[in-house]
Amino acid sequence: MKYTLACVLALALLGLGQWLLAEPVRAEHETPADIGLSEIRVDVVDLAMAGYDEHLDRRVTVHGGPFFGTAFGPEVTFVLPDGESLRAAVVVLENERTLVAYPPPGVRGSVEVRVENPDRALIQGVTQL
Amino acid sequence: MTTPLLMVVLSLVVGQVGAADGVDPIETHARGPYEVGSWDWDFGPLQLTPVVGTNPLAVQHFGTGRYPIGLPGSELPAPFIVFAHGRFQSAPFTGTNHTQASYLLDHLASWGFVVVSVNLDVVGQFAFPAAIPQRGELIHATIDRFDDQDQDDLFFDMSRIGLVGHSRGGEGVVAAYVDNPDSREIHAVATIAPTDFEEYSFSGVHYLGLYGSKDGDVNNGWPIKVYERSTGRHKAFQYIEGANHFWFTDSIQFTGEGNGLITREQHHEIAWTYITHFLRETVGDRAPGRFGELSDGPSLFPVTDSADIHPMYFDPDGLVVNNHQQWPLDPSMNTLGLVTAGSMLLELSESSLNSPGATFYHPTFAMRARFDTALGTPLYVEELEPGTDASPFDYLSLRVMQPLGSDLNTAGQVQDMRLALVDMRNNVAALTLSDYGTIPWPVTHAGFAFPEKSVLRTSRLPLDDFVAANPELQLNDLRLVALVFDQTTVGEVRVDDIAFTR
Repeated sequence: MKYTLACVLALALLGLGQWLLAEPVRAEHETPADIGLSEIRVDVVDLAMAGYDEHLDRRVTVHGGPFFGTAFGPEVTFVLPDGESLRAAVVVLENERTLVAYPPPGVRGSVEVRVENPDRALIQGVTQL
Repeated sequence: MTTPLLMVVLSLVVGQVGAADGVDPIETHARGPYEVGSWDWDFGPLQLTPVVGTNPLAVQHFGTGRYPIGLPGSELPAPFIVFAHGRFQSAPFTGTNHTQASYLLDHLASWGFVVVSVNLDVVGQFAFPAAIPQRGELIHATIDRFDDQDQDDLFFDMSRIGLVGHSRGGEGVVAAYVDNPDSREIHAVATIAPTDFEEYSFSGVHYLGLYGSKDGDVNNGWPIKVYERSTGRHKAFQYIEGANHFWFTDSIQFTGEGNGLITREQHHEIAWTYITHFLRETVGDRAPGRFGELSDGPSLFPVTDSADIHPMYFDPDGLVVNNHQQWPLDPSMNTLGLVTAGSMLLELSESSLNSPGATFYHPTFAMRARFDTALGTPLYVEELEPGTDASPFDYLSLRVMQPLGSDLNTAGQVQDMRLALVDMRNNVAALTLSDYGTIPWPVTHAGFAFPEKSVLRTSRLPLDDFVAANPELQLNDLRLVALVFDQTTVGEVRVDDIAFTR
């Protein structure tokens, strides 16, 4: 390998060297829109979901907004009392005033629901799952 | 030897002929020869695979379309194009997003394509999961229904299908290609700022990607990753300085990303120029072989007077000298299994370009070269098979970037190098990259919505110009490719995909 490498370099410099030596060196983002929260409703469900062994068992309906989505969002997260934040398994934007989110299976008790529009406008409220 | 060397030196001093100035735009920048007709269509209710649970997702299957008026009988049936829009779920929420690319549909139809845009808004109600496979299903349902309507293939040529999509619709057309249950003859996929939720890898279809540097929505580099994972056929990518995400629509404005730095009309011009050209080349009426116009070269630049567009291009039939993909990484060996060597470089190594924290979004590896001409003339050499015949090819091609954050690059300044070919008789011909392309300073934009990105750019140097620089050079008897970093005093670049291409 070293022999070949040396040959290549030698060949390169043999071929390139003369003219190399002859060459000189030359040198907002806008303010998020306001959104609000009017109601969070929780329903018990039994819903299969690809990627989950357990069924989704709670459906959270959030009224408020206006909500909107782009390639992303709105993002919905469930914050547990210990501060752990869980991303919703499913988020469906029904209209600008209503969205439905399913927490990961088995989440229970008091949670803070956070909804964030793509422009980072945020609402949050507490509910019981 | 002296005379050819003098010619080389002379050519380097006086500069090369054939630089980009004064070249006409790509032909498809102009409106095509046909008047355009339009119609709205509605095939009624349709059920798609459930996104969640077991109940099918019920949608209304409707959209709009454009067709060329007066297309000669010899041109019928026409290539069939499906457009899939992006997601902008805002009041009235459903029913309108398919109308947001009329500028593109009209232009495509004027060039002889039949184009239908399918509404995906109900699928778009899913924020997460992104329901990308359902988009693919709806695209296939659209192809099926129009095929059913044209049993004798009088109008729509279903052997020449092209798919075009924006944002989630961009990933949707990739999904339609990847999951193609009836083996539809999809020969071209073009995307504008596609998402990449499903991380599809796809092979065997011509691919074009467009992406704006000021995209404040799909701002995570996904479109670059989609481009990198397309394999097997010609592919091209255009990184458009100052373009945002939603100005590729007729009128949608997303306050979170603000305005583009080029006008909405320029977004439209760029999209219709490149996509129309791409589709003519892949499913249209043009003779094949000029796909490379979508890459850098004398026939490309400028498309418009004031937009800087940085292309990437891959020729599947090229002769790859070094793509830096061999594992374990070894900067002393190239893809041919032969030797590479550096001289007077501060650093020569290979490393990943898949590191967003370091502003890299390419899932690939590349050569890293750092240089300071105070040490001497920095040189990097790739060994070829002795007597390599490059004469079947048209270009010496490579992808290069300046990485943000390097202490050796100067903000706002381009980098440059010379590329040299050496034949078995030690004849040397060199060209300066900046006569044909550039190594731009990475464009960045202030604000959290715009993560910094260092993006590769392809430059192609015509092999004929190497011969013009030194007529003694034997293209059919090559020995070495060399990169000479002597056009700036110091610098750091990443280099990938050194190849002979058409």
